[in-house]
Amino acid sequence: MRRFRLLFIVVFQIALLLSIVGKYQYIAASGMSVTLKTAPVDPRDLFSGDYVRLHYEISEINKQHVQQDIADGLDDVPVYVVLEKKTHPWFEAVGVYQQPPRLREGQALLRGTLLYQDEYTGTLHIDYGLNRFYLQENTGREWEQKPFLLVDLRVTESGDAIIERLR
Amino acid sequence: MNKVKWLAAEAKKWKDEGIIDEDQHERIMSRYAGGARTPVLPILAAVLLGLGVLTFIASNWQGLLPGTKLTTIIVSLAAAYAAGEWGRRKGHEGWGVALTIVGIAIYGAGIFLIGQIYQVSAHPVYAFYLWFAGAVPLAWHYRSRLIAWVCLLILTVSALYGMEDRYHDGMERVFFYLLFAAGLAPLVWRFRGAWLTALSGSLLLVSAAYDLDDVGDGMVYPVLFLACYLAGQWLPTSLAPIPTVLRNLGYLGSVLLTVFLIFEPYDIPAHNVTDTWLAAGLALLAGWSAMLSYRARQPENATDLIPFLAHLLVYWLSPLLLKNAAVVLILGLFAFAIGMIVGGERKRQVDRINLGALFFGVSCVVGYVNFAWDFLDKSLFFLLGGALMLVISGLLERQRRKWVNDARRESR
Repeated sequence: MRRFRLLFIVVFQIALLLSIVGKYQYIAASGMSVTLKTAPVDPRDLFSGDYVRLHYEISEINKQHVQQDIADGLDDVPVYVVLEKKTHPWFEAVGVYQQPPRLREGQALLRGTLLYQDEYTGTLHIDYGLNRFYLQENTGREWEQKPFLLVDLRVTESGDAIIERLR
Repeated sequence: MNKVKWLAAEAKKWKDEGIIDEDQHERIMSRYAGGARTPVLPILAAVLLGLGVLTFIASNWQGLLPGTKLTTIIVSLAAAYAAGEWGRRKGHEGWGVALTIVGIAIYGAGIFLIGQIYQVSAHPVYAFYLWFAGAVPLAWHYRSRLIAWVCLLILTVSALYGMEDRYHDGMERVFFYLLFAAGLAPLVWRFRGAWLTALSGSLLLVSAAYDLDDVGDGMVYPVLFLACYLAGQWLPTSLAPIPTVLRNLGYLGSVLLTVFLIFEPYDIPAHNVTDTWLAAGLALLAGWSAMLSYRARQPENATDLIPFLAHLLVYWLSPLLLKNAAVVLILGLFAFAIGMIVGGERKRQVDRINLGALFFGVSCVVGYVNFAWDFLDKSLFFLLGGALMLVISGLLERQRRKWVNDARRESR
């Protein structure tokens, strides 16, 4: 009985690890490819090691430049950002909504959290939970010196995303 | 002197005085000798191996493919647990626990590895929650106090991560308290170690103080510390050491808060609706605590409430007191420390006397360093305080001698 209990705990731990892998592997396999523009910083986490901190162009969206249904003063809520490739080789935000909208051909959806609104400038500050790109230690300098970076994502239809590549 | 050394010295005296024979002496010593041994070397080895695995993953070495790393982690995790179990079965308890702890570290490293592979950066606190959730069943499986300590360590690190503002969202904090209640609290209940209880209680109290920061302008802290003290007072002594630890945490919290406000009197809250409600709650809790002391026939414990009452007084009179608020708080601190020493002397409670002496020392240092008083007022206060202490100690000594003489007379 004791042996089975230990076996159960070990299987539970491994299943937990593999279930996380499964979730992200699903996004990697089925998601649409999206490229975003970002600027790098290079800090270190005690447990996950060196990483480039990514600050996306679409982390700050001016309400006047996109379609949106975000009421003034609203903050700390999930939002859905509609992305579309326009004049640049990367995707840009064209809409911000509280519920997932219907997408047109060539558009992608990214889920984030509306951190706060700058009422004066009309800027929405959004966190997508895609703020780190982990690197082998002491290799962050070359990334840090670039003026901007492009991030390739895989994005599902429901707005979940993982980072695939940094370039 | 630790308990086993004390027992060894006492047992030798009993044998020399003929109270117990040689055989009984050996049986007593063999009964306690084993219990005192902590497998220090295996634990140190486990700590180093665990740190080795965690830092290897943190280095994000690209020489191995992510899939190979993940497979290595899963195989070595299973191998460490299997080796730990095998060690235990062969009677190597220390090595068994150590290898299990290595397995827990590998499991945690696996979580961080997956985070690296998929560049996961949202909610890093959840990585520690998953780590903790995987470690707790092992503490129960082996009934291991050391693994319970590992669980406490993981949850403490999660709390430190959670204290960064950008990771501090509502659900993360809810999960923290759920995991504390469902994971750590039952382990504390099971093992009842004084230090495990004290540090777990401190973790909960500091986290709660941090999370309640937005409630009012500061009266929430004395309410929190008094609630902790009251919980210690209310729980039965059969749950030792939990009630004592909770009371001590209440003392410690109230003294630290008082010292902080003595040096930063501008942080004393000004009148506002929330803090007024909290002050009313504080008064109610203080009344409840005094009633419990009275019912337990320990009226001298009512002096424990002095720092809380000083906070109440300072809050109600804050517009009038201004810089003299610090003086009221210092006087409260002194009265509390003296009350604790006198109560401890009367009840012959050495721990209470020692704690009171410690707080008295803190009060002296704070009183001396604080600049709210002029030196002349301060010198008068210290001279009168010293004279008062001499009188009290003289009276207590006379009382003690009377008790000793009465006891001797009765024994004849």
